[in-house]
Amino acid sequence: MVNPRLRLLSAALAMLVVGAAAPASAHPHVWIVVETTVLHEKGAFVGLRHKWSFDEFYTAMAIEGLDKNKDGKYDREELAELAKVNIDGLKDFAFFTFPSLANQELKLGQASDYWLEHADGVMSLNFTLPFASPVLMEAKGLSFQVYDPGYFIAFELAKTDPVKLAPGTPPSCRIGVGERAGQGRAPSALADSLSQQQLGGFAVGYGKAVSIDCNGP
Amino acid sequence: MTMATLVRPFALLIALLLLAAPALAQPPPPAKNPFAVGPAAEKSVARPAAEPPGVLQRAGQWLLEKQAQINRELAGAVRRIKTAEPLSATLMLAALSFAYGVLHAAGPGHGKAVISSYVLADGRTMRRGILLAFLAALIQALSALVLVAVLVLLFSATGLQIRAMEAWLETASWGLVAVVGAWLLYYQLRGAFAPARGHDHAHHEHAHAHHHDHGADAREQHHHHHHGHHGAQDACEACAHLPSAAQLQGDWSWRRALALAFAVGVRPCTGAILVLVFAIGQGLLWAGVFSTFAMALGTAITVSALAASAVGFRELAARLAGGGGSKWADRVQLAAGIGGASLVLLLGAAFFVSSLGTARPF
Repeated sequence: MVNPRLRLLSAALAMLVVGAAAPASAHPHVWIVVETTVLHEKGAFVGLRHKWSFDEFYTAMAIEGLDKNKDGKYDREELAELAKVNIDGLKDFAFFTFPSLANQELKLGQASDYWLEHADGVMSLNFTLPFASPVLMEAKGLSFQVYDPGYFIAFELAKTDPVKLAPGTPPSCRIGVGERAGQGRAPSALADSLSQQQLGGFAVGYGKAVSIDCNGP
Repeated sequence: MTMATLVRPFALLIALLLLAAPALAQPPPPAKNPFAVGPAAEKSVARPAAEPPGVLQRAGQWLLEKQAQINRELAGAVRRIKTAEPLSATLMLAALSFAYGVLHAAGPGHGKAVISSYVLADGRTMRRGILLAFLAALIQALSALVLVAVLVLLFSATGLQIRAMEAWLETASWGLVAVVGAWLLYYQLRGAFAPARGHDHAHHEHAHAHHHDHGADAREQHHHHHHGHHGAQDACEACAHLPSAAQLQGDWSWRRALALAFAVGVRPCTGAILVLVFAIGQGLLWAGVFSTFAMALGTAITVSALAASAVGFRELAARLAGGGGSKWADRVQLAAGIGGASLVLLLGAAFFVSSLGTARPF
């Protein structure tokens, strides 16, 4: 005779297996290589200039039907409308950019100077993202992360020099790239949290934290 | 007794592993990073105490890295068909697409959860689960193919229009999944709460016979039981049965299965759409079609494996609970039925709502 508790356990087990296999719909279909320049003005950091390069598949998809003059090239004008759609869409996702100062969330302003370029089968989105208020260079603990909390998009920093300081930044300022998980906002929807549960915060999903420090070693 | 002693540690181990899963999947510890620029910066990043990386986390990380790598190589493979020796390039493309399908479906999505829950709920056999997985993958591939063929080739639509249509199909798919889930749940609950007066004996007999005759053609077998059952229980034509009863094996279960395969499959596979559009851009539509089907095969295999393991666990649980016919086996079956159906409904509804949310920028 089998122990009743064991029976209960096995019933629970069957449910657990499905529960564990369950979530979700999010998995990356878009890969973006991130290159960012940290902008400054009058002794303060004022924002970020992003260049996001899409993978070849997404690029092919995005430019489909946009070569209006049929010259085989996709120039800035032909891609202008798409750039606007992208930037408008990004507003709802906080531009996937999560800056913080001493572990406090830092607010962003409106994106400006945006355009799309296309070369060698790779499309790139360029845009400037100001901090809502400037951050003094002496301030400690300025950092940002670029990632998609829902993980439909896999952001990765460029292999070489992913983050640069704009010309004229004092030489004492340094960029550090490290891994730090879950600094951004909490998952917004049930689906997001399901996919987060599934992904459990893999480093690839969360992206690396970039820190900027001008106070020397 | 001996079985219980043998099985208990195993069951406990699995339970512990499952319970530990969230802990294993905790945020990653700070790894040694290859991109750090200066020592100052290294110091400035505050870090939590290091934890050893979990098995699940490393497996997940590996999956993601492989996917990114295959994604990159896939583009090259399509292009090489034009330049390199076509046969070997085509074989390479097939292999990569297949691998992409396998790995990709191992991540979330592709109806894996829905199909696993379904086979758990509807008392399905392993064969049915596998068939369902393949059918859903095939419909997904065809859906992508039709979408791209119509929009790109006929209407020269833009990428944004393709994505809008894809999003619409996704919403429709989740809505349909929720509907099928509700249908399943209704069926399960009706079975659970209907009076089972004087029924138990016949029912158990059936379950037993079914268990032994499993190797035969499932459908015919089920039909046979169906008749036999009714012959013996004429007075009870309108009675509902417990989920493991013969009724469940009737034609309606096929209708539910096909409805589910359609509901899941109507949402085109995004990976397939991307490959197709890319291939068209390279003037190699056929390579895209080829890759799409190789991908679907890979996806189907992964989803089958999961659906089959869900069935396996249900059957194991039922066996541990005393085998076909015991009260506890029925309860396990019932719990799996209601739980699985609720999951299908919940997943469908949750993703339906989330698909109505803000459109994604990319």
